[in-house]
Amino acid sequence: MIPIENLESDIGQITESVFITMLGMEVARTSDGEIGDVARATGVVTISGAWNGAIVVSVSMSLAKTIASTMFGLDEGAATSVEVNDAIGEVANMIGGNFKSMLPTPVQLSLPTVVMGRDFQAELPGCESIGNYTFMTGPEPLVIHVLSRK
Amino acid sequence: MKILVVDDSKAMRMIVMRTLRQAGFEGHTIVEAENGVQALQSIQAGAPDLILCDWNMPEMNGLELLMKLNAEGKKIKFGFVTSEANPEMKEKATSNGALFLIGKPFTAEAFQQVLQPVLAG
Repeated sequence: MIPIENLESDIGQITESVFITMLGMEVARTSDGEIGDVARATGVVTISGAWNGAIVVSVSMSLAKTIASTMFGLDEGAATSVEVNDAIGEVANMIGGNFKSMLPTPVQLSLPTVVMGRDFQAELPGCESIGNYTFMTGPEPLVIHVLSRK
Repeated sequence: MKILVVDDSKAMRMIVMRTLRQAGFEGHTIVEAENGVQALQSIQAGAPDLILCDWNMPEMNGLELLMKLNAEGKKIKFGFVTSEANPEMKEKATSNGALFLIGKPFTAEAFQQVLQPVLAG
């Protein structure tokens, strides 16, 4: 496994930049936020090559709809599940793509996969967690999980 | 001018089109495609003046589209709008004739700065 220095601050900077620039939403790092037992949307991109792992972005369905509505220019919460899927996939793609730019080359980024539901956890076979970071945007938590192949 | 926006995310295509307007590039004809294959079909139907293209897409990615256009001798102004902007990809983009690479996330100012000379030329 290639060690990644400054992982927390790198993920923090990328996440803040994506949310403020593309969505106009402030995010702040927190140590105690949880999505809780509510429906959620999780976007996953995997990275393979000189570094192998994944970026997993999880938000409550309520925040997912806000993100999608903002990206599609819809009224608050009006986004459909198809639009939520597209938007959360693109958020994962932007965070994963920027993270990939910090890795040794060559590395490939997968297309995003989005899962929506309740009471599930994204796990990738052969991978371990190297960082789990929670941010708050307003009252809603956003969790970025970094997995690395063992 | 006719601008072709290629991205597999409809949300991102909408953001790109909105950002073009915010950057002051109004009055252009905008057409959309979801991937390189759709983009080629669109180009076949009527070549755009500029292509703004994502890199990582299913069916045919942005670099493959650019290389295909080069192989077919189609001279269309081409730039990438992508979340992946490391030096290796920038080199691949420019060596294949891309005029620019705008990283996601982007601002209207970035669009203005990069596209002003391209759309004026």
